[in-house]
Amino acid sequence: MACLKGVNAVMLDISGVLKDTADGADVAIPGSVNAVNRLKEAGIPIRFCTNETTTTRKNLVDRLQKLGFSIKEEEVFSPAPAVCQVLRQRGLRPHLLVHPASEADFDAVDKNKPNCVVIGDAAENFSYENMNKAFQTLIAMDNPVLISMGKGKYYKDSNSLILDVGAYMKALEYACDIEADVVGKPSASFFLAVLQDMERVPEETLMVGDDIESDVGGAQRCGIRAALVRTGKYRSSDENHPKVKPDIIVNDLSQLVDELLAAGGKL
Amino acid sequence: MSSGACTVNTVLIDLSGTIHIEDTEIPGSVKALERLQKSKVNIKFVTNTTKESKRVLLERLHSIGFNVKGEEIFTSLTAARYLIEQRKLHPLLMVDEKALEDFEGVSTENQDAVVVGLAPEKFDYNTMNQAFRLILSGAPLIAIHKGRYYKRKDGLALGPGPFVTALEFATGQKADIVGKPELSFFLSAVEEFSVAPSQCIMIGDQSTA
Ligand SMILES: [Mg+2]
Ligand SMILES: [Mg+2]
Repeated sequence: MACLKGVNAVMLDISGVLKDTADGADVAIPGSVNAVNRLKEAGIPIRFCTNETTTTRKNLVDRLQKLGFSIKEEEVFSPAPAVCQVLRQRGLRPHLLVHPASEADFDAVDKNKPNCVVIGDAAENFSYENMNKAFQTLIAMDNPVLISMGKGKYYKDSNSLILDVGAYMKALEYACDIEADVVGKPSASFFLAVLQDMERVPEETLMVGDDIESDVGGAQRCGIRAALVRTGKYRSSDENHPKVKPDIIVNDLSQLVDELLAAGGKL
Repeated sequence: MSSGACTVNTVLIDLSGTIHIEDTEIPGSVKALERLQKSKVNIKFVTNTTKESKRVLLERLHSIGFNVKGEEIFTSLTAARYLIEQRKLHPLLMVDEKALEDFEGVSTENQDAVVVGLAPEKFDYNTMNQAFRLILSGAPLIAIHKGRYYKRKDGLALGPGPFVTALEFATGQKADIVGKPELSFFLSAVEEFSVAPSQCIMIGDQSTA
């Protein structure tokens, strides 16, 4: 396909592109293990770009390897390590509103006398009292700093859609009349860090995701082409999104790799 | 009096801050109300409440000495109920336990709407997800109000506004707000009188609400 001409580097979202979650267990999306292998065999550099914050990066990679994916930790870009870097650079000590399973990503961070709030997909931890603690921490600051790991609206879990961190980020923004700093997709700095790591320019790179705004919209704002897959949280209304038009829409990652290799990607 | 003012035949009266403060009468208001009631004007007490049911409000007013009847009170909860009945909705009620009695008789089976008041115990992760999925599949989101926070014994605490905003963002659906100062609130409050807005006067203590 013409829209894929000249693509020789690929960024892959993980949840909803490589795998789904059903009753707490990971399930590979059919054809996706092989699709990753075919990309690697064709010599196309790959990075995995995820907003996953319900687990550590290491645990996520272990789980994907168990499903049969060829994936290494250094190929995975997730928000928590990026946030730790931001905290160091800005001298910030976080109050964490995150998933218990992701807390280990912040072990090395000073959390005494918090001067910012970091919010991730805390799932069951998004109780009223936990939201309130985050709110009270923010409202007590002269200049409240809220850092959000992604700003997704919802995602799919066990065949139903559930609220993502973006909704809770918006709640705290509204309560304190502030704007959060987003680390992770769709922020440009996140995509640019991945490009830098691959030593590629936006024009030769393709992002593949199931989130029309965070994946497709975010990448396109950086000049990166973007493919929407009809797996994961995909809904048919995404194809008529008022602002975001994917460069290509495919049924799944497997079909995308077919199209990409047929378009002569790298070969 | 000018002839324009003489056409007023309906009086809307705020409660807290206008005729009473907590359990105390604002001096002269019991008498003033008696005089109004003897004249032929329509009277409606209008107030934003997210927790207190009509019965609780009435009990307080009676104990202070006001002669007020239940049907004379129109609250933001009444407005929500009015909207629900008008549109024949079956709501998921994210409202305080104490406010539930104002929704007595409303069917909550096969839910197709979401009503959000001030109800910290209903803002848990599971109920929020349930509300989110209903709205995403087309259920209207009805907010009693969008207050950012309120005062609690241990300091400030999140109001319904942040949670309504979360649901609005995730679903792309704007909430219908039913309390003061929404136009629909005032129109519904006087609907039974069949009067024009220009025949009504509102007496309150807050210029913005
Ligand atoms: Mg995804
Ligand atoms: Mg008042």
